[in-house]
Amino acid sequence: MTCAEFKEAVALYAAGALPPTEAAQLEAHLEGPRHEGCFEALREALRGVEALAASLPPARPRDEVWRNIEKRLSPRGGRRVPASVALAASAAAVAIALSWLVSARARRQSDDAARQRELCLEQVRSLTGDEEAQREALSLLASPSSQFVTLAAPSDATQPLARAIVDPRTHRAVVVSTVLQPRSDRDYQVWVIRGQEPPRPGALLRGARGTALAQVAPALLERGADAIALSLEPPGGSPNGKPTQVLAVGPFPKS
Amino acid sequence: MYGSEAMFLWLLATAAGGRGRDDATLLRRIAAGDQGSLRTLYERAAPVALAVAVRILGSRGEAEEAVQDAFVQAWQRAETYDERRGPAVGWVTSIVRSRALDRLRARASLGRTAQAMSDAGALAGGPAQMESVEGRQRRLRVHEALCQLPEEQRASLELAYFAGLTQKEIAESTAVPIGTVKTRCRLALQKLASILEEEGS
Repeated sequence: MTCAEFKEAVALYAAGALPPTEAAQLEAHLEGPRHEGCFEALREALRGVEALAASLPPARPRDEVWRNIEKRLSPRGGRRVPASVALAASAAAVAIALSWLVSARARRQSDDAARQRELCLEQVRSLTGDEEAQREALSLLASPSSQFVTLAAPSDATQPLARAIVDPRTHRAVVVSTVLQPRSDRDYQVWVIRGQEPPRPGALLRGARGTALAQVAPALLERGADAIALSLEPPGGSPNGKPTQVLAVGPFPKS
Repeated sequence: MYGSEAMFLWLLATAAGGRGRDDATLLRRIAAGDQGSLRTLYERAAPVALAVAVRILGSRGEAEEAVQDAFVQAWQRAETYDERRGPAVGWVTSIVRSRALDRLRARASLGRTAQAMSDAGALAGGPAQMESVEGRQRRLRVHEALCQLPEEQRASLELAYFAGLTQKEIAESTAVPIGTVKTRCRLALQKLASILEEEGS
């Protein structure tokens, strides 16, 4: 993309009217070393968007809105995704995280399933690229025995990074995320964890602008699983069959 | 701190580029785990961000939930903020807009009837926003500038920002080529940006 092309499209980008693939192209262009007025054009467009927002009568949120935000913030220093979680050292951490996740999941279970289904359905419909995984996800969403697993950072169960749509009865699962940002130098990979066995690598999670989908091979789930995890890997996936950097983990539902 | 006057003055300052460094510092503190800085950002941004969410969702309750989700997300992702790409209020407002549109699309995907509430009805139930005479006058001037835009420019921009339509969807719904949609949005934003600059100068 040239600077001229960027400037031609930047108004639509600022207004949020570009499809994810094109928006990602503009964002990638900004990472380039030299520009001819690109940031100036972006800031002007954003000023216009700010004016659009500022033309609305301001609305003060109720006091409980901030209180609810505060409740969802993890303690200082505990919210960051760990820089690196070595496989050998991660078993205990995963076990602790799982117990935390299970309890958090239990609290939310009663009112969360319908919302999760809604969100997943919309996320899956918005995806492009992997039609087979998309069909599988829609099929799982239509299945009454499907369940939803939130994949969250081991250090913070309240911060979902992805969801898995899982049917433990038929050993099928699809992972979907609209949060993870695409990286040119890394891939996201799905893992299946069972007991003390080494984690088994699954599909790569790819997609534009953080929206991505990955189908977990049924063979990985035939003997059941304890958890599904997501890791950050070099391009092409784990080079050694072990997770390089565990980003998120979630408990696998029992059939 | 919730006064729209303060909010508007802050917007003007950021439009003039005077708060870029402050924004970067604020977001660095948030990234380091400073909840007080997040509260500062919330006080600056929440009234406008909530107004955007209410406009998108037509429901005060859902809009406040979108604001909650967005500020939690801002807390998680503060380190990704890049001041070269605009002020922090705009950044967090864009997150609020995205979360509101997620809810709107999820609602639509279930085939629910869109019960668009009137602005007045949608805003009922929350505390009134105290707005100074001067602040209200400034906001109305921006609103007036918006109304003075050619109808097709204003409609294209509002379909993009408040309805979340893509350029292709806007082109289809307004029966014009995509290039025309681009031009309309660009001209509309340039005009609105110039209003902020005039107010700030």
